[in-house]
Amino acid sequence: MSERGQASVELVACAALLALVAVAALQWLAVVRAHIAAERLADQAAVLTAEGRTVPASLRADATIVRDGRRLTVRVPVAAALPGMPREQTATALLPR
Amino acid sequence: MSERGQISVAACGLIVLLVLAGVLIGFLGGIDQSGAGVQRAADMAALAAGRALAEDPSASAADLRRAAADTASENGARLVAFSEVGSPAPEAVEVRVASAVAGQAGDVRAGARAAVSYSATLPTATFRPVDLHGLGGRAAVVAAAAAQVGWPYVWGGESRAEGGFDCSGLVDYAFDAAGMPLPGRPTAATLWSLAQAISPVELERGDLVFLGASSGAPYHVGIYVGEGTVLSAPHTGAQVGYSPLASGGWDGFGRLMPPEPGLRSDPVEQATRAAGVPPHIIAAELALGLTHEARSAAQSLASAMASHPESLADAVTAQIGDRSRAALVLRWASGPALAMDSAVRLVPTDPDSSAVGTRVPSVPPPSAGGRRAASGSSLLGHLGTALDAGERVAEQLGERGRAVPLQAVGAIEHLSRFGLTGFGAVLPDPDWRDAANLTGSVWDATTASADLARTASTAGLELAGIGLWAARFSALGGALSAGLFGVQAYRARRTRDRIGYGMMAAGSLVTTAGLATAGGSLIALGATTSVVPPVGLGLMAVGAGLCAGGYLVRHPEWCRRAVDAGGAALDLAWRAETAPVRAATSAGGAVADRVRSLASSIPTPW
Repeated sequence: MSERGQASVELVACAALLALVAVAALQWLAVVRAHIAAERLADQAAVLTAEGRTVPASLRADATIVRDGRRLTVRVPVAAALPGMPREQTATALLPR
Repeated sequence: MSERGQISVAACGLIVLLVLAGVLIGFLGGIDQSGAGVQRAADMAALAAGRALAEDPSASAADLRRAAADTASENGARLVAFSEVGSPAPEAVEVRVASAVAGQAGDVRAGARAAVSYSATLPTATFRPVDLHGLGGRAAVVAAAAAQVGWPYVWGGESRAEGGFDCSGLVDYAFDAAGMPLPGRPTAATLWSLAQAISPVELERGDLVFLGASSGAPYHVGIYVGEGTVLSAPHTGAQVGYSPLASGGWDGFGRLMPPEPGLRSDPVEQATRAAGVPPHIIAAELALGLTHEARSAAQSLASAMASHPESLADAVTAQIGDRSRAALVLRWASGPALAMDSAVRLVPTDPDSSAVGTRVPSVPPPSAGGRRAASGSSLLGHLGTALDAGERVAEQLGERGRAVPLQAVGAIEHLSRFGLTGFGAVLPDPDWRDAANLTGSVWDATTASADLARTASTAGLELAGIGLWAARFSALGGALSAGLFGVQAYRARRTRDRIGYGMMAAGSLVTTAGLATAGGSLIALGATTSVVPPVGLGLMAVGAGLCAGGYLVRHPEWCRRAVDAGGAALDLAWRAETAPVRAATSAGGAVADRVRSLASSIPTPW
């Protein structure tokens, strides 16, 4: 095989590897984004609930906010999760007694 | 460079760029996560103490601190400072918390303040409630009646719903509040018939005075409060108030209670009597420390009551200038019978205080909605997330004191370590690659030793955010490196290479084992924190040291050069240190030579 042909094969292999790394990076980005959103919503929902106020619908639009006694759990789905990757990110706060 | 080489370099560059982008995202997320967790614990702790204060305004600081500490602990942090804000009556509580376990970037701290506001409305369908604070007998009757000063008179009325209460209603209420209820709903005539007639000179505080007693059926009654003063609900259009005994035309005097000789009014009662205001309010203001001088406080309350004749609560608010404090005063004066509402809100911490961190104003009014949470999975959505995270980090850097910079330093440290590995991987010369990797191993050994020294007495090093992901990558890389170095040791021809690679393989294996002591949380992607125990940190330090030793075994010339360089440095240092002495010696020699030369040039006469 000539050096040029070898380069073409390497180009294809590198392109595939690059695509794989790019998909992994995007997935990582989606997970981080969901986690940031979950933490932020948990902050706001916990404070509002502890202050005796209602959690507005705008906070519930992109997340599932569940209160079980003093435990407040916020679940934010990961956009376009690949198989084997976490489907959602969770943040939890324990409300004051 | 050949076409092959160009493609390889471009591919490697792109992959390195993508990995660095991923690490950067982790860096942003790590800052957001580790700071937010501690801040949330601070918020919850402050709100817990605030709610305890709202439920019981007289709660002790120890009780409030306990409520804050418990909640902080439940949210994964520990309370490091607690203070009540506002004097004399606390209006807010401020807490500072730290992460429960020392983090990779030091103790992450955050602070929060919860303000408590009260509101109270006096009942409209019942008498003014009064807390007698342990008073009994005649003093209690007088205090209960005096608390009604300022109420409008309406004949036959005995409640606010009826517009006020008449003269006998006031007496009936005062005896009832003092724990000595009278039978039925007595009129002035009934009270006259119940009382033991006494002469004016026998009058004591709490005795009754009557008008129309000479007819046998009095039509008006008042309570004698001492010092020649009567408290009564006089007539329609007037308010419950004080009047001189001598000018009232009282012709009958009666006693319903056993005598208590020597009972006198206190200075507060005297001041409020002069101003015509209810004494229990001024007593409350003095007790809460809102005033220190009864007379001036009574005069200002009188002026406020003149402006707000319909509502004592409004008058007290106007006098004090704060509705929440006025509610506390009314509560202290009225006792638990007064319903009091309270609201607890997080507020910014005092920027002038020594608080380590300030709270992020993350709680918007409900109507405004929360911070926008990026939605959708488009490229724009991802970009929005990155920008949002950047905004969040900038916000934290600006507002959270030293906590986030410390985390940022930790994250940059990890980023730099991976950068060194990536840099070494793309170096063209194998010796340069080994030099870069040796630097990385020394770095790892130093970091692990420092972490071990810092956390030896604790549960270990807590990993979170980018630190956790760095550990995951390191464990994976360590396992791969152990295999690769093992193969290279097997295939090496020179003995020193075999020993060097063997040491590197063993070092990588030991490092990976050290990381593995963190347990399943290191592998579970859903885990947000993991703790490497001290023994794991020790293994990591030993493993990194073995790797560094392996590189040195493979490159003994570096040791020789290091020894040579050390010798040269020592020589240079010796020269620098002795330079002044040598210079002085040389100068001295030159001077001596000059003197000798001058001396020899002097002609001698002989």
